[in-house]
Amino acid sequence: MLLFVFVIIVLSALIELDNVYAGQFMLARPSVTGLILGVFFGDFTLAVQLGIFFELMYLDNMPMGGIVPPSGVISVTTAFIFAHFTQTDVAFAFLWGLTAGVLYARIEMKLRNMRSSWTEKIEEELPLNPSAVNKWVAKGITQQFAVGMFFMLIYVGFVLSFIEGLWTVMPVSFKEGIKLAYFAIPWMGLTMLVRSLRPPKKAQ
Amino acid sequence: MMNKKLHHKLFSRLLLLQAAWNYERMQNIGFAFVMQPLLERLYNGGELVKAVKRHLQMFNTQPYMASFVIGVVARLEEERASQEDEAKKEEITQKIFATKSLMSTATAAIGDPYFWGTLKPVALIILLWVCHFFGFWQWSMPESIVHVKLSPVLLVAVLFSALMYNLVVLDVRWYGIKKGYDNYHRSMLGLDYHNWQKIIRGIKYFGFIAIGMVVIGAFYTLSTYIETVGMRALIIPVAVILTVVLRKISMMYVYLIIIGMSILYFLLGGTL
Repeated sequence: MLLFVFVIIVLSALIELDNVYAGQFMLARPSVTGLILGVFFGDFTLAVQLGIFFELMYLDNMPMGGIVPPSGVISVTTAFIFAHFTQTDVAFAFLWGLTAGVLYARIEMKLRNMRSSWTEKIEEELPLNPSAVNKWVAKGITQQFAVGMFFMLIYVGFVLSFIEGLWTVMPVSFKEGIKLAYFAIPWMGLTMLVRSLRPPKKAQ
Repeated sequence: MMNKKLHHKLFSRLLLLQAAWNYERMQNIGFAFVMQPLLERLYNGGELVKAVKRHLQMFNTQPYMASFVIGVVARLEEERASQEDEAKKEEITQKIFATKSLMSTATAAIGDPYFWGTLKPVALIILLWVCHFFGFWQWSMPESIVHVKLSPVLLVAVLFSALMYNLVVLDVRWYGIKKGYDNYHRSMLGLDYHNWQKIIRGIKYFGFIAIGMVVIGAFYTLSTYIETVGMRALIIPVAVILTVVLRKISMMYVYLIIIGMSILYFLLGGTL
């Protein structure tokens, strides 16, 4: 199991790069990530369902300007690991996946802030190495991959240590509440989709 | 002139435009990275260093639409490099700064509603549509799904959805460079490559009809499983109303509110 989890995390950290930093071919869309996880690690429907649900959930978080939306890849990966490898309910795994996505967005904001000093460093390096930009771009991608991977390793390791126990001792009312809200997600998502795709009125 | 080799280089580097995104100057490092092969061809020594620094100014736009800016700026850099007169060079330098600033706003204003606001949701609708009408119609009923190792329908649905999206993206990324480069002297700077408003409206109409069909399908699925779902179906109108009423807040918070309300309901002795 540990090897599987490690491979899933490395693969997801690579896919996460597609979200903002490299490509943006939408491989980092939760539904596509779900498909990849499903193909590689079995339980195809669970992975795709989690993917669709996360995609619906993050639909209104657009990466405009400096906005950092919660990471769909991190969310679907961690939720898939919790739902697939433990005895918890998928609704509970979803909630922990959502938390991971939101936490990672916070970390990404810190990283972006940290990279603000890079321009000055590049300008200092340029007279000696006019191709210095290439090095810093490579550094940006490597850093993002490493941070994504270590975040998932730490988060999954931490949550796996208690998630099953917590689900077992959790009062029934809490369990039912979480399950009921999970059941409502597709309907919330469909409402959001109808609202966002309402055709615009023609200008008079 | 921009040959195929340079076009390929600009295009492939454009994929890493956001690799060093930062809050101070946003996509500036990525922009300089994209321009690097062209600048190396046009300048050397101190001129090259100055040229790279020129593109480390603040820049931010919708990443796919940046292709138009790259095209225009590439042509302006070529024009600048061909000048002998220093005053003329300075004039073009100022024009480069002004064009980047102007185009970053214009391209973002087109790209954000086009890609994030329209195409991305429609790609999801295509996925839901194929799922719903070609076999995986229980997607909206968490407990009724039969878990399988591989479903050809789902595989096709996700790949089709991703492919549709990427065809449009690749068109804009590849031809945007060319259109910008060829139309750098025109007032529209190549941005009239498509009638964006008309396309957005058309895609939205298509998406609206498709989502309508998915909604009907989802209700049909619900009616099929109504005995399994039972009283839980009552959460559906609550979720829909809350999503509509609380439209100013993210759906994530609406979900958390529903969890809170549901827990409270069960704590107060409610049953389903």
